[in-house]
Amino acid sequence: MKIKQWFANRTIHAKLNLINGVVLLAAVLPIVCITLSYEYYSVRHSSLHEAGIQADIIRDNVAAAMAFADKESASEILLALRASPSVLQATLQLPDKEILAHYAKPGTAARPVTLEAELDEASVDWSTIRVSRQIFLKGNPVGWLLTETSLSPLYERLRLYLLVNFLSCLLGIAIAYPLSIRLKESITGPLSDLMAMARHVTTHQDYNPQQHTASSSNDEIGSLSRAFDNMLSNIRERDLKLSQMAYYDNVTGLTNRHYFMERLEQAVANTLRYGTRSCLIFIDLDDFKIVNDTHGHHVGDALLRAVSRHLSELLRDSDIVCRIGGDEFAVIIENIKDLKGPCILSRKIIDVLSRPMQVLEHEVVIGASLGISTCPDNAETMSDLLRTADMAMYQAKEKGKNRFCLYEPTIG
Amino acid sequence: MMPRLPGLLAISLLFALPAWGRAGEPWKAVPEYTMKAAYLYNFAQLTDWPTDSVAGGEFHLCIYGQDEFGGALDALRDKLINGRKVRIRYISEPAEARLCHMLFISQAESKRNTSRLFDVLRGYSVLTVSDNAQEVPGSTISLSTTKEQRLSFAIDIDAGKRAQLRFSSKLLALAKRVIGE
Repeated sequence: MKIKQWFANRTIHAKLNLINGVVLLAAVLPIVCITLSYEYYSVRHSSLHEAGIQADIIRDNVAAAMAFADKESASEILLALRASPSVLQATLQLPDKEILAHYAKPGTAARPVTLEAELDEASVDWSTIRVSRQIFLKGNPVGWLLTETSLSPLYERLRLYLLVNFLSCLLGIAIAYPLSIRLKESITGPLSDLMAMARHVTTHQDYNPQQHTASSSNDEIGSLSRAFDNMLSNIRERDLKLSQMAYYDNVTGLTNRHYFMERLEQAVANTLRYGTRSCLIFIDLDDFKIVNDTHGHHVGDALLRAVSRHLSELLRDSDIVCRIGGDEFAVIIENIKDLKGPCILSRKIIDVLSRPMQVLEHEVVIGASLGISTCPDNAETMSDLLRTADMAMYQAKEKGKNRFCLYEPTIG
Repeated sequence: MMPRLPGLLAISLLFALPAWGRAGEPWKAVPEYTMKAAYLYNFAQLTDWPTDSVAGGEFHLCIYGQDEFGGALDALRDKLINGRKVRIRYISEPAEARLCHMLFISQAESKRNTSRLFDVLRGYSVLTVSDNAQEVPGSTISLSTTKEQRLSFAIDIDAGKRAQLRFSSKLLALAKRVIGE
């Protein structure tokens, strides 16, 4: 469990490294073990076979010398074993076990190996092969040959084999390592990018990150990346919808009262801070209720849309027009020198709105009453500005509609 | 396989006693003629006779001249050579030698004029072994004892050829001297 926990806490890069290592080990270890044991048994077998053949050759050659108990000839024949460096020693024993001749590998002084059981056999232990052969001349037993052969060539060969295995493993790793890094990069790279982007999105609340480009790969990471992108664009869409709902009027598409209040507050603050002048125009449609009642809400809504279109056409881009109530609109104009501009605009608005309009195949006629108040001349706070503009608008209505009134303190 | 007769074991044991080659161990001494009996047996083992001369019957080992073996040859009785039972005969007339497979010429006879004997044997496949003589002319094998009391032998291949005898290369390899060819 601890290992599992530990593994779970590694990075994907480390996990891939670990998996690579474990898989490599799991693949290589049985191969090495199996080939090594195969090598061991086959070389051991062939060593045993070879030692047997050597003994047989000596046995056939030495038979007559044994029969004549010819020490010199027997020794000479044994000397042929010098050609085989793995033979440690050999002994020729007469039938009564008397040693006739003995050979020891040059440079060694081994105690002569002697016959233990009267058997033709080849025994092998960890270090040596012992072969015993009865010698016959024309079918008559004339003695015994015993040889002792070292298994060190076997171990030498196994060592070499292991070394070659080890070196080839190293070579394999040397080739595979850069390759695996590159391959791993193809997995961890896009993941890191994705993670960095996710972190950027969370910390900066930026749902439209610039540096991100969806991974083009078709694997799970590619899908994840695309899903993430999808999610982000869904969030952006939802945000847009939310801000639409928050700041826009869904009938006319103009900004709503909420937005208007925020902008007005800003406008008043800016005006006071920079010592400029701005004005607020309230527009109330006359006889809108009649149109609504006569032709229905859908015509009323269409009329509102037409009005907002006209207003938008009349205003500059820097001016702000909002629908702040059922048939009430407001315009904020900042940075004005005097009331000349607002007055001209108001006149244009009244002019346009009082013309008969074709709305959904109905000809409707409405009018507009406008109230204008300026900051800081008439009001130095937002609420004062609202109030004064409202008062000016009511005054215009009282004066008979289709007109605009500038706020005058005496009104109140 | 040859039957493992007690005699066979006995002769093998004889070979095993190497005292004749070793000074200072007199208690192990093997009598010289016991050794020689064993040698005769080995010579016969490593020699091929022409087929017609060995057809059927026994293997005739003849002793010419004074018998110095004593009981040493008893070990050879009942032994088989090329599948034949060994029969030991003591002869005094050269003509009798024609029926032998192997003829051991005693020390005394070897030193005499042996030319009449070999004349008689001309054309017969008889393996002649002369005792303690420096290469008796006409004798196939000449046995001798060295100063160190070791036995050695010389083989005259030409003489063997005349007698249609073939020697094993192993035997030739062990000979101190090979004459001919």
